[in-house]
Amino acid sequence: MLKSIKSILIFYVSTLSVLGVLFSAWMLHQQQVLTELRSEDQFADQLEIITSDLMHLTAEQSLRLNVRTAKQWDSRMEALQNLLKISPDSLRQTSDFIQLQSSFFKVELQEKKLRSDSSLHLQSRSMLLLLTQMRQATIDIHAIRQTISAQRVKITSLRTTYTIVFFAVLWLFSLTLAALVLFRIRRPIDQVVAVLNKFGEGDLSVSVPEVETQEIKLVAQTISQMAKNLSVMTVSRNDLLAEVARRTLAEEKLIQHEEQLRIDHMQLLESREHMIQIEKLSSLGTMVGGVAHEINNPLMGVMNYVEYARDKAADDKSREVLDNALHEINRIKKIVQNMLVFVRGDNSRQASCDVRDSVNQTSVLLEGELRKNNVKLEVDLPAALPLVQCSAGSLQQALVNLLLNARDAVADQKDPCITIKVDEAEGSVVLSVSDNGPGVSDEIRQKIFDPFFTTKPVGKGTGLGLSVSRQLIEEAGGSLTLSSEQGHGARFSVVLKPIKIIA
Amino acid sequence: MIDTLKKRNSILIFIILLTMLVVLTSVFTSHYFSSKSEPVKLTVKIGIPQQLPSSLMMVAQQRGYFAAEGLDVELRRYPSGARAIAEGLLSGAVDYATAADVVFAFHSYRQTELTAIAAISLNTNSFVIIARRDRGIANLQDLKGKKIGVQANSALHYFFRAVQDAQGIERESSQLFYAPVELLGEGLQSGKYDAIVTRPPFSSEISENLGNNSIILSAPGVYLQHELLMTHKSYLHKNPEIADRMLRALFKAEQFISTHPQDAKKIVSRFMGTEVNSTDVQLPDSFEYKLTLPQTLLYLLETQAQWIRSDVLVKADEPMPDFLQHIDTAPFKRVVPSRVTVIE
Repeated sequence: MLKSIKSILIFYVSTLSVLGVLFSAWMLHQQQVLTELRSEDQFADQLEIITSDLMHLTAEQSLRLNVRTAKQWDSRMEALQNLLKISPDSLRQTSDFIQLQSSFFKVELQEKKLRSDSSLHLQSRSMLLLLTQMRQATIDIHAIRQTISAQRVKITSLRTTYTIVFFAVLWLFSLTLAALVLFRIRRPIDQVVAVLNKFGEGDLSVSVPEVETQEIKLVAQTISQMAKNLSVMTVSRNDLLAEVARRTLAEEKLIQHEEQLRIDHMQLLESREHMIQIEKLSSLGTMVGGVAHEINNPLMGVMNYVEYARDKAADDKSREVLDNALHEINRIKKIVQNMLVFVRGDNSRQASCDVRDSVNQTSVLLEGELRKNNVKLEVDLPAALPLVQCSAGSLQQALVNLLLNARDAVADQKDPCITIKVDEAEGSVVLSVSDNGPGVSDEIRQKIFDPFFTTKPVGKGTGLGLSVSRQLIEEAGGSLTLSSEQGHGARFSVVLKPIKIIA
Repeated sequence: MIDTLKKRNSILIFIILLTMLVVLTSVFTSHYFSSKSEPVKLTVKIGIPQQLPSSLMMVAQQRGYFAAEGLDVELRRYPSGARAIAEGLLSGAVDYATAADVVFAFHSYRQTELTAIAAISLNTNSFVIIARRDRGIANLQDLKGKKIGVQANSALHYFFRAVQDAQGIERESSQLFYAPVELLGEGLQSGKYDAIVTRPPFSSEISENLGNNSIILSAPGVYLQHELLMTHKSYLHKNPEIADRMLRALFKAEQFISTHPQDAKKIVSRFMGTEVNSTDVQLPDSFEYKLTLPQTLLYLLETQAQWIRSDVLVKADEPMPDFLQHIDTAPFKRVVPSRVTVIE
């Protein structure tokens, strides 16, 4: 009984419907009765008015019985008869109404008698009887009104009572319905919701409680089945997730290896390129040495011929020309010798050189190159300097590199200028090559001595000049440093140890 | 495409609803304004005696109650109600007239067209007898054998007879002289009459003129006088709306007098051309300014009609008027039904 929501709803809706229909029907019936009573009341009102008129006319007739009063009486009596004909059915059978009809009948008879009375004495007696009958009619009407009033009070009271009872029953039904909803619907739903919350937290082991309400029981059973299925699916899902994680890790490692391989490959390519470059330079050195050597021999022959021709020259003009030629040949000879020195590169710690000579020779070597680029070269050499611990070739090679770098650095300046200055300081010989170029930024300064680092366009520089120069100077026990500020030029300083002369 | 059709349908429905709204609004407003619009102005001429029983008429006119009901009323003043009927209503000079019940009873003998639609006041002490002391008159009994001036066929006339009856004085014991009410004072002062029957606004002036030689004799309650509003039956049937509006205006005047007696007194005194504090315009307790149509009026009219015949004011064989035929309750029932107690 009432074990399902459907049955609860059917029970309550049907019960309340029956009660509502019964109550409405009863109220409607009572309303009809009240309407009839109102109609009876109105009827009684009309009766009272006519009776009042008749009473007045009776009084007037007692003073003056004439055509006018008779006419008015007849008119009122006719109205009374018409009213009685349309009296409400509910009144017609009552004893009060029958009594009233009888009274009016007597009134009518008595009034006719009054009119026919011949003497004043008879009229007076008839008038008294008429007044008595009128009073009886008034009392009858009053009785009818009382009956009607009592019925109205009774019905009104009954309506009030039944309405209270109906709403009390309605209230009780509402209470029981609320209790049923609470115990049969709300509480099982709460239990199921609690289990679902557990499921939501991942605890699929909780079992759905037993409930009585059929619909919710069905839901609970479905949820239980769903929980079982979900358990199985959860296990598979966990395995799947683990596999995905493992594969992801492997993929990440693969990517890392691939990246490392790529880097290694790039380094390999760079190393190969360096090797090719070194090989090229080595071949170039060899070729330059060979060329210098080959030039040197014929040059010596040319020199001898020119000296011979000068000695044999007859006039001064020819001698002068040949002297100039010899001068130029000597110059070529120096260049070639310098090239040989540069190529040989003997830089052992036992080698020594005169910095002044190296500076002069290098200046001569690059004089043409610098002039071609409109670069002014200023050389500031002290009058005397000790020999330094460095081969002339290494120093010249380093100096050439420094000067060529300086030349490139000042290429865009309005008045490009390179200054070579040699000083003694703190027991060392310091040779500095300064330019008025744009200077070197901190970032470049960090890498400028790295091998193969260059800021020049591709094909213009090897990136080995400064690296090799530093290596040459350091091999000689010296140092090559750079001091520069962005926008204020650069200065390379070669510090060399002087040769100690044992006395 | 579908969206466009839906949009068109929506616009169509909106236009239809808007049109319906406009039509309904116009119908409603036209109905409202037509129902609230000013009623058609109706014109009516009313003859009234310049005396207190016509106070409701004076107040209704002065307060604008007639105008508010859409009536353009021309009030024509007459020295007495008898003159208002004879010179006004019966001659066709006015459409309505007010006069005492006695006057109505008198004319009902021959004027079958005459009909009353309401009583506009009720009083029991509006008439007085002013007598000359030098003629030996000190009380009502002293009127025996004296020459009495009175307006013929009037309420004053009936009042004097009622006083005689009440005092047990033989009618023939006094010699009656008939003259219009406004001329009676001169006759008394000249000594033509020993006493006259008169009423405000003449009474106070006559008494003053006579000085210490005058004595005012009153007889409260001997005559229950109804001031009746009357017209011709044919006129009433043709113009029922005028009767209704007039009664509504008079009903407002009744309420005004009840709630603002001092203001009403000022209006009446101004209308009667007397001082506000004059005794002529006092609104004494014996006056009731109320619209009524009581059953007792029939009895009183019959009594007055009997006196008229007995006093040989009409031929002895003249049939007694059927006053039910001379009273039309319909307009009053339409306006204030509870005030009509005439039994039909």
